[in-house]
Amino acid sequence: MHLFDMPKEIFMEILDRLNYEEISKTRLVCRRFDQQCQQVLNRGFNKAVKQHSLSFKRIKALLPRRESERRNHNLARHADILTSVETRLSMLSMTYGKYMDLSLCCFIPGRVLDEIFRILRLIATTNEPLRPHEVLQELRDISSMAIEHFDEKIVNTLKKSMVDSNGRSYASSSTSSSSCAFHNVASTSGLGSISFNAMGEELSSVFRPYNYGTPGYIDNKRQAMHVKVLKSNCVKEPHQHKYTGSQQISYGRCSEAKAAMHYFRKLEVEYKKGIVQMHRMQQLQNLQSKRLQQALNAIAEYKTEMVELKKRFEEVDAKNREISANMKHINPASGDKKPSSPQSSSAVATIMAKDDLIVEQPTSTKNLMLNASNLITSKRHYDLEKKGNAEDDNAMVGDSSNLPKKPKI
Amino acid sequence: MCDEMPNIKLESSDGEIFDVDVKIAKCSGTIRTMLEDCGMEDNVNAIVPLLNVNSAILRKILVWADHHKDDPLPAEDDENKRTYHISLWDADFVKVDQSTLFDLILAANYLDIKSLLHVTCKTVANMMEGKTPEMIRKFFNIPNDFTPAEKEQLGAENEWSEEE
Repeated sequence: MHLFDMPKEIFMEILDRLNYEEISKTRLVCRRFDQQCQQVLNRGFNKAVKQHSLSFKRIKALLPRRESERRNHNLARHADILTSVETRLSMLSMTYGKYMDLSLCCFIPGRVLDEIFRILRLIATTNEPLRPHEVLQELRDISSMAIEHFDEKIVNTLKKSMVDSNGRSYASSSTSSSSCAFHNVASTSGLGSISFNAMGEELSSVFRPYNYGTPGYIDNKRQAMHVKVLKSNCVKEPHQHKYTGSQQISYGRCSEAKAAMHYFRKLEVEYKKGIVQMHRMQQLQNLQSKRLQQALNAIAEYKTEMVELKKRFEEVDAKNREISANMKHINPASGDKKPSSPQSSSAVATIMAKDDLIVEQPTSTKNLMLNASNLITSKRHYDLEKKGNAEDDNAMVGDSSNLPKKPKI
Repeated sequence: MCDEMPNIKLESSDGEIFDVDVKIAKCSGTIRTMLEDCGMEDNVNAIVPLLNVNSAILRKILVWADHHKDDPLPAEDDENKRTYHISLWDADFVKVDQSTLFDLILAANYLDIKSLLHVTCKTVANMMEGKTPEMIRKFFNIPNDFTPAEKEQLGAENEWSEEE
């Protein structure tokens, strides 16, 4: 007895006893292994999501409702870890989910699943406080590695093959339709193979992106079923009884075959529309994610600016205080006047304006511009005055020879 | 004590009849259901036909059931399957050729003996563990039906963990 003589369910039972890392490696054995392992990996990911949500619910129920009590609770770190795992799961879902739904690939990183289940087991079995950094380190590293690798090396191939598959399916549909409409004489196997190829490509595009036009990859049962259906469509045709063996049979008159082909074409058109819609949605999604990223970057920049400005303000404030203290020390009489206060208040106003940059940018920029223009005008005044004074001085010096000397008092 | 226990008769696919303790026979979920639902428990002369199990395999299964007759039922947790460890006695029990092992798996599945299914499936899984795809192919006599393009793609998909 051979391993493949066993039913699919039993084979799955065996694969269920392997860890997910082993399963992802075992995919390379043969096509059947690949198919079954893909199912196990996808199921494993869904199971991880489910188990995580159950675990999170349990921990949340055990934690006290008050924030202050919750912070010091034994299970507080458990909740933190589960939150991080949730983030990781959603990141993985965003990366692989779309392609898994389209059956273009499976959840490739089995090792990540092993790590997630390890953490979930740890959380389920331990009630003592855990160290989140230590527990999550490995998951963070390997999940990031897997996501980066997928984005850099796999996504392009999948997208390319998706586009190819669309092109091929359109081409095959046109081939099949033309063969049905214009070729009055076609062999049994010819019609079978034409329509089978079209169907085969569609099926294979669902199973594997890189295996177009290889009917051997498709489940044998499906092949047999499809051929059976095609044959049964033509069984009632009287020509089939007349011409047997290698003789060519006319299928142009086979009304059922025509109807089936018509229906098939209809389905193809619908499929085409669906694909176009899906592409649009993907484009929109990409655009939105880009915008979101830009907004996040802008927020991050503003935050850093705010921090810098605050630091500057603190420095200026400290200097002002120093200066005022020195002033007091030098001239206690003038100490009553507080030179720092207006400066600091203006600094506060500037900082406040900067703080409100995100919400009320126009007002703050207006203020800043006003301040800047005031500064410029005051500087101009000062320069002009200075220039005037200098000119006056020069004039004084130049004209001093001409002018009568002031009488000495 | 053992003499007081009622016995039932099990018939293998090749017609051999085994006189078995009910307690041992009840390790099998299929036989247990048959006895309870069909009211065969009290009928001493009743013969339970097992059409999918031959005498060699049934004999082996009865040896296993006799050893595990007092064990509790295993938990139905999927993740436990991966962490399940085989006892020494079980490891010795499944030291058979591949064909017999697969027959045992099929029989355990048919007779609904969860612990035996665990042990036998885990044994096959252990045979795969730590082996390269080429070694697995050789071990189970599986042909490599991948095209070069498919092989390359699969290799690329699994590359990420090797980058370390």
